[in-house]
Amino acid sequence: MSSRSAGSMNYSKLSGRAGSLMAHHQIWQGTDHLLVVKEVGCVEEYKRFYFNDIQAFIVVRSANYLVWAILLPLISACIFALGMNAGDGRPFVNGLGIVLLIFWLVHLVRGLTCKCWIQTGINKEQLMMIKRVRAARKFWSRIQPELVAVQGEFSLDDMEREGTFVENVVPEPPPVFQGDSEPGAALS
Amino acid sequence: MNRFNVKCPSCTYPLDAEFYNQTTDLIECRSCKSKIQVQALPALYRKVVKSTEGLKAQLDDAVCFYHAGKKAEQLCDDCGRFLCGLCALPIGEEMLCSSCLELRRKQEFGQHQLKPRQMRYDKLAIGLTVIPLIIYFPVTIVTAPAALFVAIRYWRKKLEFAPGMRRRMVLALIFSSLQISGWIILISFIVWGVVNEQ
Repeated sequence: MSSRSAGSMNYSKLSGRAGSLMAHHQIWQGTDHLLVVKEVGCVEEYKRFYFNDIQAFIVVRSANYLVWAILLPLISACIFALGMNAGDGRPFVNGLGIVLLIFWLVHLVRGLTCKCWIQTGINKEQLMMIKRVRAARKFWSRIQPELVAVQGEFSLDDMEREGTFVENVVPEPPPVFQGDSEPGAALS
Repeated sequence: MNRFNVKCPSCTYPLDAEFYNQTTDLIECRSCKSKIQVQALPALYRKVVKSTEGLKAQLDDAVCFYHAGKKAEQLCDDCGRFLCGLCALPIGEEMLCSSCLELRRKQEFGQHQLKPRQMRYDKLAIGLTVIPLIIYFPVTIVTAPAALFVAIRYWRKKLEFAPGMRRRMVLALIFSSLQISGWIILISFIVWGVVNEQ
């Protein structure tokens, strides 16, 4: 991952651009915060996550890896089968099948897919630009020293001490009136 | 159950804290069975120093500029107004009131750290030169001068966060100049041909 100055502010790039034709996402590391950039056309929208506020980084495995690992060779096999009867168009159809196989190999080499979130006290932002487990680990290894330098190490004991709920003490029901004295006698 | 537990992003079920910050093992969400890795930080359980409701002012206390019943806890770094816990907005290392923040956001250039969005003129210029060329090239007779204008007009306006801006501006200038030159040559040929025929 490259580290360079962006404009007059000191930002280093943490991910490449990812997204659709209309909107791209990218993440940059500043001196005291992460900058998530969403680019829609010529307008860039920014979200800043200060190191002091980040509570957790969550990675959830997604099924995309398995889905495409099965689908891509199946589709290319279908295309090769079609290419058998394509006549003059056979080289083109076979070429298409080979391109899909290359995509499949690249997909396998890039590794498992995932979805990532950054959690702060008020929101949970999905990082659209990180889609592979390997990229997520690389990202975390890059920002972890900064976060630890600002916040210190996470301690399970401290968390338990601060946040464990005290069970509500259920008030005992009033004693049931017993004996042969008349109701209301205790009041008198 | 610990109230600070991180919740599963898929189903919002609280995840067991014992599995946080594991380098290899993945937690399996008990509800949706997703495989999850959680890297937790002390901010998860750290006490919030700033009051989130604003303290009630006593008889001799200085009060917030915006809330007469709330005790002043901070000063705005820009205008110096007294602010309660609700009105004081920590922006980086500064403490601002909402009106000062709004004023700073309205400034066209500078104060990048306060801006939620920004127009990228370099991308507009390069878009005006490249996209019409791909979609329908005769439109470049209008878009090329527009791109040239944008590139020249905003050449000096240096944005604080604008990676690759100068490179795109140079490319936009070159492409738009080439397109304009092309149109000038084409129109000259047509005019020359018409004059010669007469």
